[in-house]
Amino acid sequence: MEGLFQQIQELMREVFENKQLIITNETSAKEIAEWNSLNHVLFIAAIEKKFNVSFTLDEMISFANVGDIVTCLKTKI
Amino acid sequence: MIFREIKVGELVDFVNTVFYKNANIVPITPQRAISQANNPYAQPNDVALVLALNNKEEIIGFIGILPGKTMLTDERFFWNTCWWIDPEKGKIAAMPLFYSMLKITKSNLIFFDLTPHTASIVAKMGFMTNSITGTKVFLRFNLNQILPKKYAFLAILKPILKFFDSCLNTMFAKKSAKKELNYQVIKCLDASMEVFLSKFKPTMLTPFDNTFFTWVSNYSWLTTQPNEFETAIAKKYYFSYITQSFVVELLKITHQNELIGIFVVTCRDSEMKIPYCFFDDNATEKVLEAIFNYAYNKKITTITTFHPKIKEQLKLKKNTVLFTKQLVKHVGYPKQFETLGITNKLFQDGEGDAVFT
Repeated sequence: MEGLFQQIQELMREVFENKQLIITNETSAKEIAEWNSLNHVLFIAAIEKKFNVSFTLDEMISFANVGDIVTCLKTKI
Repeated sequence: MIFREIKVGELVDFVNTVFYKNANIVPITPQRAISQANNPYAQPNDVALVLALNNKEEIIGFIGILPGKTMLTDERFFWNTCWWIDPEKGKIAAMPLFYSMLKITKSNLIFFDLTPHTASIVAKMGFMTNSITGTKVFLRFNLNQILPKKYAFLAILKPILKFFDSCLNTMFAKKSAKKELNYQVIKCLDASMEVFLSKFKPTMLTPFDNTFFTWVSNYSWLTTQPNEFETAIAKKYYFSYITQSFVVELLKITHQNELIGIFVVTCRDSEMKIPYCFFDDNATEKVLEAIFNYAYNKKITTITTFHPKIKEQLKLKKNTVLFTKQLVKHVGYPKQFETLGITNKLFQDGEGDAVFT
């Protein structure tokens, strides 16, 4: 679990171009200025590519925080 | 937020539904629906539209996909036709709609005529983007159409502006075509034209043949005599639908009985575009002469082109045009298309859905 979380954090740092980013399960777009709609899609696309999974549109728009993404991702890998 | 896909095979029924008739915004016109339903490159289960609806079932955004064909790959291929978001309610739908299009098309799509903002988004999504320059030349004054569009209050002065146009055109615009008419307007490609076109195949991005031209010429996306329903729909549709006049014509250009060029031209009101053209480099001057003949005969006010050879030739015709305006168009395509040779292909002005309007 910790490994997965670490990988998500790395992806986020890469997509949001912020190497200092530290995330928790509760981290949401409200806390991160770079987490706009475009970067959200880029972030989701990066997760899909890295873990070879696919999110539905409904899932993509339902994620309220990092925890939601990780929980959903675990059901697919 | 709910997403709803409309397939190509469902389009004609969709524009007859109660939902469509009562919608606050419509994502497609009946004209476009019929045209896209007759797309020779589409399959009935292809997704044509993705709609984003809020919890009141109001359309807050939509994105359009047009199946196409490219000479680059045998894989299914698509164009992006539209992307609209309600400026107040639809911002949350923008990127999910865009992403849904990428997933549906497996990113096998080309964007043609992007805005600079959309081009930056497309670039961030991993596509190559490029800009193409074009030229719009003015052959006649047309202030009575141009000025009221920019300044609504001038609409009441249209008759006066029309009078000014008439005076200015009498004084400055070139009036007569050369007597030798070196073009023919024809209905479809004949055998000699197909032979002529074969040498342009290596640089064609998309195939140009009778199948394609028949679709384009029979199913434009504009209507010139709207009925009451269409007039009502036009008020709820963000993109172009109704115009005073619109024709698509295929021109066979010859010189001393030799075929030297094939042009598809569209004339919307008095503005002409050249969606497709094929000619040898050494015939550029002659084909342009024929195009100008056509334009004078039709009393065309402007000609727009992005074709590099025609643009260069137009620079030499400065004394026959009143004004020139430079244009820019942004295109986007998947990076892998570069390995397939897209940089060796000529983007014609009519690629994607551009020829339909």
